[in-house]
Amino acid sequence: MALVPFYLLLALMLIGMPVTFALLIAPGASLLIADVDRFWPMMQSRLFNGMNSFPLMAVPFFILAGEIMNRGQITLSLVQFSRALIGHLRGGLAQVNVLSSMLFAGLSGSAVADTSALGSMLIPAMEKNGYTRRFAAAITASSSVIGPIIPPSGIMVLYAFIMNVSVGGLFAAGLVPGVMVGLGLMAMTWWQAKRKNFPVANRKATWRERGQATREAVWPLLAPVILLGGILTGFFTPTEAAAVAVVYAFAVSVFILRSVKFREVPSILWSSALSSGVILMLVAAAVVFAAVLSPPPFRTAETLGGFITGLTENPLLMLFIINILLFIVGMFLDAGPAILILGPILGPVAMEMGVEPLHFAIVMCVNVTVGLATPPMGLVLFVAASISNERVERIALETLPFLAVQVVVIFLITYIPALTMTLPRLLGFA
Amino acid sequence: MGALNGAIDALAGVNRLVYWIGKYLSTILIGVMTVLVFVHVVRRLFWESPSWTEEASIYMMIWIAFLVLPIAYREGSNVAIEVIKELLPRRPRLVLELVFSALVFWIITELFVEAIPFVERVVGRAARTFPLDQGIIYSCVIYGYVALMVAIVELALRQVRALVSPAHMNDPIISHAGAHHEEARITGVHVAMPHDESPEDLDRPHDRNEER
Repeated sequence: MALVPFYLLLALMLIGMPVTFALLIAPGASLLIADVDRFWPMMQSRLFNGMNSFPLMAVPFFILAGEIMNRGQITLSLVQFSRALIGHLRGGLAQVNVLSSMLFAGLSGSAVADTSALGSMLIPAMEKNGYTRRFAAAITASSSVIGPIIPPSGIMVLYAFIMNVSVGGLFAAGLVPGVMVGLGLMAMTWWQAKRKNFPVANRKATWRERGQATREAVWPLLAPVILLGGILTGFFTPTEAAAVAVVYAFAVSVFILRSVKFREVPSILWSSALSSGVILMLVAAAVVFAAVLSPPPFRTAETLGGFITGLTENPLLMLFIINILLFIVGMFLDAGPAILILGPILGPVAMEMGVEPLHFAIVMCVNVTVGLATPPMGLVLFVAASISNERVERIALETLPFLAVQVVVIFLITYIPALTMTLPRLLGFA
Repeated sequence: MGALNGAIDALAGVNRLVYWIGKYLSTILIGVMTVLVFVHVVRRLFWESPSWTEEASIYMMIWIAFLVLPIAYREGSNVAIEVIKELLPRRPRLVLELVFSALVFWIITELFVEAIPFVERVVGRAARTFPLDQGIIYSCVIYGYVALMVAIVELALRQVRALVSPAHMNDPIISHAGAHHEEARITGVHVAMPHDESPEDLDRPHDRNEER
């Protein structure tokens, strides 16, 4: 009986039922099968109260901030800044792509926003500069996964909410892995540039030109300083920081860069409300799923956890198995649902083995985020394909060397906890 | 077929209204929510923050979720794994989607039945930090469920019509419904903005077919 809800959920999701409703129907049908009536009122109240959380409000705010920045062409100044710094290197535009993603990650925390904003600008530019279209799309997709790893990150807010860990701590823990992924991709690009003789985009910028590019990018570059500085020093809560990010992005885009018109604001608000509503309902459904299945008669999470723990007693091997599982799940399922469904199952297993909650959280967040750029269901691959007009499978093939880099980073942060835990410890989060 | 078309048109009219209510109200709410939390931060720096801003903004967020619920379902903004479904030929896929509609309708009906006492229990009680009846706040649940049920019935009728009449097989409303578009996922920001089309546009299957 314990695994009936889980099998139902799996079956419903596999045949294409929207995940939110699968998370409601699976426990509902299980209640019918088990002939248990008493949980129905709880399902309803959890669906409402699952969203009754101030920390969760960071999700709509980060979405809104990202939407404003995306429409406000803030990326243009970041790309010009990156180009002034490293555009003269061999494979310069590919390197600019990765560096811009790292800078953009400090603003938005969304891989899709990164791919669409940078891809629409850099893929045509790279193609014109002599890169193949599929390589340009591949490096855009691969580097975009840095978005949700370097804070702020919507996925981390979800994990923190569902697993009751500190958002600030997660943000602090994500910084080093995000930079590692970025530097790893830049190293791989450098190696490929030498091997394939990639073009040099432009001459080396003078210091005067670099100063000019920095001045133009100063407003976007200040945003992560304000946001992360505010959160990590305890000046803002993450939700407050997210609201400040919205107002900051609005002020920069509308009044300073003048790239967003007032008449565009309602459509920005609406598309953010729509995305937020979808995510919030997914979160609430995940809360319902967990609430019904934790107590008797089901105890699904406990049973699944017991099954996984029973596979091996070696914690290192267990982390390896969990990573492989997450990687496979990430290939098919979006990062958010993967975290909401698997977090409550795998989190306690990792804790039982003595892994620190923040450490495991980052391993899980990075792993499922990398899944955003892996076939067959990697969302950013589809976005990159639609922007570049290139076939998904050709882009996917080209991303393999970059995927190898990301896998190496996943295993490094899994087996060297100091990489993720040093900063949170220094800042008092762990 | 005439009665079926009439019922679909009537339900589409209701869903147009649901779309407009959801779109305008949630647009306003997310804007107000941002301002409230920002003011909360600024006031905390210089004075004392008003205690009601936090509670009010949370309720606005919950309202947004329930206002968007029927729209997201009808427009297909929910996340789903569609690999297997997309392998199916059009007709079996439609049957599968009809089964989905029935299942979602069932669970929402069950939740709706529980929602009535859930809301009734708080009617007449003010919110914790501001003088608004909680019945009004909690009523978003009833609105969301009823509007979603209407959307599901419209979609189910369209699915039935497509099954019996191949001319309606490419009805764009059912092609989009239920599961995701690429642009509205957990990761947030949209890539394309089909949602900004007016509901009139969404309701013009022939025009959209011609575009294809």
